[in-house]
Amino acid sequence: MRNIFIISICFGFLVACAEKQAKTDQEVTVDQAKSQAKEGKTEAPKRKVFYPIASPEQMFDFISDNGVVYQKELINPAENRKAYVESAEKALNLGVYITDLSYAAAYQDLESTIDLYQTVRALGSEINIDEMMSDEMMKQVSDNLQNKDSLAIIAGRSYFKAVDYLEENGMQTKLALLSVGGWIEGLYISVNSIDEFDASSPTIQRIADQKVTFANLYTYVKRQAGNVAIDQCLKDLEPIRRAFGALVEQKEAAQKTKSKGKLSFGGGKQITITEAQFNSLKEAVNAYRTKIVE
Amino acid sequence: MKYSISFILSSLFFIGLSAQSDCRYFHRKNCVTEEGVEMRYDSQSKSAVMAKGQSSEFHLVAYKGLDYRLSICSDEVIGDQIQLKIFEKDRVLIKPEELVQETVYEEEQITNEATDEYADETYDEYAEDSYDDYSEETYSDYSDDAYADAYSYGSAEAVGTAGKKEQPKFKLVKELLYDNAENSYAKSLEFTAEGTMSLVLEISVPGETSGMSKLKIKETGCVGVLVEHVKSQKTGF
Repeated sequence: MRNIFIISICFGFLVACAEKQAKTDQEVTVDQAKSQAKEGKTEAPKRKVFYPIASPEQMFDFISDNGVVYQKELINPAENRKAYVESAEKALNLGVYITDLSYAAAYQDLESTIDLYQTVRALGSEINIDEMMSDEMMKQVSDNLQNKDSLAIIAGRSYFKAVDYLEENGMQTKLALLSVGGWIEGLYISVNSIDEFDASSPTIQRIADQKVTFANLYTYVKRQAGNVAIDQCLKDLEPIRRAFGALVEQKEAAQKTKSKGKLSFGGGKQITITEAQFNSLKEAVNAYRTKIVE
Repeated sequence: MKYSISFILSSLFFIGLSAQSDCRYFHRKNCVTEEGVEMRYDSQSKSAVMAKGQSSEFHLVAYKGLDYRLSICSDEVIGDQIQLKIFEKDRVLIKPEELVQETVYEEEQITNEATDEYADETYDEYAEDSYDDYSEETYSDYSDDAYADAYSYGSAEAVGTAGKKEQPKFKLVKELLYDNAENSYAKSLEFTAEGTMSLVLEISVPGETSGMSKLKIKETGCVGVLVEHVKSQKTGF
């Protein structure tokens, strides 16, 4: 009988944990109980809201395809890792290093790729994401050193592994910070890879379009507000938010056309950025990135 | 007897946990379609555990100049007719003369937030509090551009004529672009984004909203949304 009692207690505890895990970081649950109660229902499914943030390799695929030159010096040096002590700075910099890893892999910088794999693995382990970089993945890296696409895919996997692990374990704050660190690093590399501003260049346009991505990221992080590290992060993001807020959006009327079975969604936004705005954004991004890595 | 009970409890627990964890890669294994052109996996793809009668939202960014394919898939247990609605999300400046009416509108929205989660987003990433905190500073730094954009910090008219006291307000709206219910609950959709779009995918599982008790495992299952993209091909000369 006593055993049954203990098992029941454990079961209740574990179910409670499982329920907590379900409310993951990039998933926001809105309680519908109030409205359901009005309708006479006592317990209703909850609506979940997800803000999936694109992994960094997509940005680097894009800028690489558009002729942007690789600059190794933009990567956060691996030796900086040991300077990160607090949990929040470890999470932010894990995002930074994962993005750097994607960058190095996308441009087939093999030496940096291997260094960064080890750095990501070590830092991930420090914040208890041991699953993130298995021996098997490390072997895959060494087996695919000459294959740019495979390296990029494996690098992308480290991002998914980290996100999955943090989601699975309800480590919401860390996931939000990792997402911010990774996204900031991607933007940092992108804006600092531009030699001459040309408003019509696809890379500049993609940077301007990050205003839309930033809106989702910011909304998602803001929903975690109340934690000291998150509140600080939101504060640190303000100059970037202002810089993006200054960009003019031209909204096209939404329309839908169909041709040969494929839909085209007209509308969307044409976001324009001037050189002065670009420089302001660059300044804000560089300042926060410096704060993260130093 | 006690072994039986512990076995049942343990089994229920592990079934529950596996429902959670197995969903992580559900879209990768189950949503892939052999039809259509080859596209790249987009990391905005996602899977989730859902219950009958439940809805979820996925906020995605579709970049200008890319072709996208969205594929949805689900466990058999929660049915086959998963409804996919695609909305475009946008912020709309509320004109000063509409503010009185909009106040009522916002209150209604807040009341209804439980039935429409979107109404919960009455704050705006770039407006409202950002305007409160930074309007003057922004005005001095970026006077030419910041207020030319009705969708960011407010119109020049709103700030220039009335100053900070007349703070522009924004509301978030979503416009329906696609509903697969009108297309026999098609599980896959290809589209071209002609401009960069902030999209909301609303996924609804059919069935009665009979509640989501932790033990009603038979009424929950995985739903995956696979997002793929490829650079749009230019046509013509």
